[in-house]
Order: sequence, then structure tokens, then C-alpha cells
Amino acid sequence: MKKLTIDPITRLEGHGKILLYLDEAGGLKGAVLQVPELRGFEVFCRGRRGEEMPQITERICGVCPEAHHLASARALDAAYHATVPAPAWIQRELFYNTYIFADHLLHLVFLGGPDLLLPADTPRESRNVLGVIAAFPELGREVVTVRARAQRILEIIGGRAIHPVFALPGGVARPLTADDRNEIRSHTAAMVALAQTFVTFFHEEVLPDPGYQSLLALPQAHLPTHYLGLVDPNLAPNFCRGELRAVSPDGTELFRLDGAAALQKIAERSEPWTYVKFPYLKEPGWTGFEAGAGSGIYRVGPLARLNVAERMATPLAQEEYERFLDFFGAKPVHATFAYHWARLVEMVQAAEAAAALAEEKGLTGTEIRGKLGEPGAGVGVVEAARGTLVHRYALDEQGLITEVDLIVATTHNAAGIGLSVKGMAEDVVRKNDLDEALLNRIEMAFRAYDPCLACATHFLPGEMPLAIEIYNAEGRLERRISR
Amino acid sequence: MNAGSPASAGRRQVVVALGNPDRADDGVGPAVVEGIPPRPGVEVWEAIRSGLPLAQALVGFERALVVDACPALPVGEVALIPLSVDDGGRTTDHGPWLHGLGLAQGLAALRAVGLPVPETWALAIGVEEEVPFQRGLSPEVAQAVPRAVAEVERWLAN
Repeated sequence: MKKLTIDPITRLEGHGKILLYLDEAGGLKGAVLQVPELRGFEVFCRGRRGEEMPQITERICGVCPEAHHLASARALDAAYHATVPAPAWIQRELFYNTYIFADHLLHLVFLGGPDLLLPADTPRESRNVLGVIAAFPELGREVVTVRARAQRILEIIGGRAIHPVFALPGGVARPLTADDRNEIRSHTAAMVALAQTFVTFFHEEVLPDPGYQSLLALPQAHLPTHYLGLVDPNLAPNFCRGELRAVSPDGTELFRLDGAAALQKIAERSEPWTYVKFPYLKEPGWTGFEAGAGSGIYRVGPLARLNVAERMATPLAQEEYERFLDFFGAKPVHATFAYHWARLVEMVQAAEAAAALAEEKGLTGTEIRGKLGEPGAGVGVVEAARGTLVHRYALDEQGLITEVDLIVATTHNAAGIGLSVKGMAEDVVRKNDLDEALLNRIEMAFRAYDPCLACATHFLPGEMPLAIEIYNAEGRLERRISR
Repeated sequence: MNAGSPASAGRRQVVVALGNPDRADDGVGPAVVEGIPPRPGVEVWEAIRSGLPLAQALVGFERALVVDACPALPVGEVALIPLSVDDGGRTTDHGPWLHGLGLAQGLAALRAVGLPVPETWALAIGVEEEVPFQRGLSPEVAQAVPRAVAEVERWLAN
């Protein structure tokens, strides 16, 4: 069997890469994403005080420290049997919805933007953030300005501009003041306004575009899997609390459980040809790398969250959600490129939710820390921008860490991403067109998921060549393509 | 405050240490700025995030110096490099197709929308490509810290 390796991220511990497996006839047999392992992380954490974990874990990711920070605090809430007071929850939810808004905005405009906003024939040298800004200067300016205002909210609540230090087991570190509220309120209003602007822009400029329509209808990008995500008691998506709900490819609820109980429904598949583990639902079980009701493969992230929900939590998001459902005609929506649109719906909800939370009387409440019980084990689940994030800790009687287990969104999605890459790459591999076309197709399949491989280190920026290596059946390098 | 806000006006120079002290030599940036004494007109930060969030935080400064580990250099080597915003279209932290803009790309985006971005430099300290989860620098990288501190002082004096 031939092996083709795409290795764009050699500095991330050398393990973040795509492997494409070719059969003897040159066809594409399978695809897998190798995410960087957090090797040695559990050993490093053992013996540390539980309260340190929100700071330790947020440092492992330069992309979504907010998600790790809060997932960690939630795991400690559970481990210490703490009840988080309402004012602390309002702070946490306001912080977290603001993070989701800012992250989704960045992806929609600047990262997924080249696929979403620029014509398909845009030259590669312009398929980037500068190309998007050149094409839509007013939107670009507004996005940068409002994103900075969202960042300011994260700083007010989180305590630092670049990474948060506010969440503690059982609550948060400090109460907010009336001045804090007034400033936050001005920023959330701008967030809602931009969300509405972007919805209009999407329906006028993006959705009517034949290129995006064809992506949404692409058979190779139709992947009927199960879905998993957090929902509130009304079955609307919630990004940082609630229960995990799983639905089948036809939308049937499989379970709705708290994080610890839901994890009992999930197993991990190991394959001899990769160290990557593939989470799957124990019911229906593992049947190989295939989609469908009989396969336990599931997906997480924006599209999954809309598929497990029955409604949105806020009015403008609900309107956009209904337009989304009207367009596709049925739910669950299985079009991988609908992840972008789902991200937009969520961005609207996050902005509206943040604005509503900024008006909550309890935001400036002073009861911000619940009483901690005896330490034990706990699971914390949040929805990172790109999907479900699980932190699971065990603490000894002194509150020292004895076990740590993290499941990040890109791991949940590993099998789904592999299937999507396989679907998108199949034609070009069959035609032996293993160059720019393959790279572009794989980039698009990846960007839809907004995968995060940054749970590594923070090295200086530099050129990261995207390369394909083709190995023959004996494992020798036959060809290398890079740019 | 960031991205052209009034609060960012009037600041001059900032030194930003990127890196994780829990990952051995990746923590060299924070180790270097520990040796920088406070002085008027200069802010010193530690940060986890690079890319657009950091670029936004730098708006309003005249000059910025990012101190970071660099596996592209020999271990322990120290190099002061101008960060070219002109590379913004192609330079990223995590490759051109994954989540996250690089700092140069973030600065380029801000400049493209008309915001004043600082003259930005990078102080790179060579480290091994793989860094374990552990506290403390390797002897080779620890020896480079005084030289890196001296480079920061020279940069601030210029």
C-alpha cells in the first residue's frame, strides 16, 4: 500500500500531519489526521495542586486558552463538589460567549474567509487575510475593530489581555463593578450590530454565490454521521454548561447526559498504523471508517451543535437558524461546508447572549465563590469554538492531581475529518493530480472544521511549507510536493 | 486596551515574552523578560497568544519586541530579526490552512485596515524542535538568557 503524507506543521512536535493511504491501483484507501500528542502532560500534572490546572492547561493552547481555562474550572467544580453562585456563572457565560463570538468572527472572515468570501478562481497569493481585506475593506475594518472590543471584554473579566486568570474551582476571582458593566455593555452592543451586519452580508454576498452553493451540495462533502454537543434544558446550544446530547444521522436522540455519564457512552478506537485514537459512540459501535447510522463515528463543532439542538437560545440566532434549516430542508444537516454557516448562526447567538448577560443584575454580584467540598474526581465539558472539549481530573485527599485526561475537539472529529479529506481528495488522487489541486481541496475540507493543532508550543512565526510526500508500497519516498 | 483605542495612545515600547514556562525551553521568552527591570515608557508582558490577538494588543505602541523560542536556530543561538509585515500574506504560526494567524499576518491585517502598527522585531532564541512538559530551561538555553537580556537592553536603548 502506498502512503502519501501531507506535513504542513513540522514544528508542532513533528506529529501534526495528514496521511493519505493509497491502494495498489493508486486510489485513495483512507485518510487520517495525526494531531499532536500532549506527550508527558499527565505525568507533568501529577502532584500539582488542582487549583493550578486552569492556568496550566490554558498554556498548552495558543488558539483557545479560554476554552481550556473554563473546562478546567468546570472539572474542578465537579471534583470539589462545588456549587457555583449565580454571579460567577454570569461572569463565566459572558466571558465564554464573547470568546465564541471573537473566535467565530476570526474564522468566518479571515481564516475560512478565503473559501467563504473569495471567488473560487482567486489566485493562491490572494487567498488569505489580506486578500479578504482587499476585497471587503469596510467589513475588514469593522471586524478588526469589533473583535478588539470583544478582546477588551475578555480582558476585563479574564484579568489579562492575552490569557485569562479568572476562573477558580467554585467560581471566579473577583466581582465586577458598575464601571465594568458599563464598558462591557458598550462592547456587546457593537458585537450584536456586527453579527447582524455579517448576516446581511452573508445572504447578499456569500450564499447566492454559485461557488458556495456548489460546495454545500457537493456529494463528496455530504457526511451523514452522528453528532454530539452541549444543550441547555430547552435543547438550545449552550457553549459552557448543560448536558451532552448525541443524535443519530436521522436526528434521533441517542442520549442526553451530564459530562461524566456521557463519557461512558464513548470509546476510543486504536489502529495499528497510527497513534491517533478515534473516539466513537459505543452504540452503535465501531464499524470502520465509514459514515451512516450503523457507524459510531460522530462529529462535534458548530454544525454538530446545531444538529443536536432543536432551537437557538436567542431571537436573531433563531431567525438565522430557521433560514439555515429552510435552505437544507431537513435536519440533521450533513453538508460539511455548512460548518461555516452554522458558525455564523452561533456567532449571532454568542453576541446576543453576551449582550443579555451584560444586563443581568447579578453580573456585579459579590457572591462569586461557592464552598468547596472534599476533593475527588470531576469532569468538565465546554464547547470550544471548534467543538466539545473535555477535561477529566482525579484529585487525592490533599487536592493534588493524580490523573488527567483531556479530549479536545479535533480528536473527537478525527475520524470525520479523515472521511472529509478522503472525500475531497479522492478524485484528484485517482487522476494522479497530486499537487496544488490536492492541497487546495484538503485545505478547504480542513478549514470547514476549523481544526486546532496548536496544543503545542509557541515558537516564533515562520514559513511553514505545506508538503506532500508520496511513498511507494515499500515505504520509500517517491515524490515530494511542497509550496 | 487594543486596536487603536484611546487608552493605547501615548505608549512607546513593549517587550512581549511568548512561551509556556511549563514546557522547558519554550519558556525561554518569559525567562528573558524576568531580567528586564521596569522603566518609564516600556511595558513588559508575558503572553500565550500570538497572531491577531497579540497584534491587536500592540496597536498604539511605536516599537515592539517579541521574545520567543525558535527551533529554526541552533540551540542557544540568539538572533534579533525584524518582523516583516510585508510577509503577512504568507506567514503564519500554524501553517496557511489551520486556525490562527501569525503575528506578522495579524499586523499586516491591521495595517491593511488603516491601523498604526508598531515597528516590530523578534528576538529569537534557538531551542530543540521538541520540548517536554517540565519546568526549567536546558543548560544550553539557560546560558543564552543573559545574552538575550543584553540584546533586549540594546534594542530598548536604540
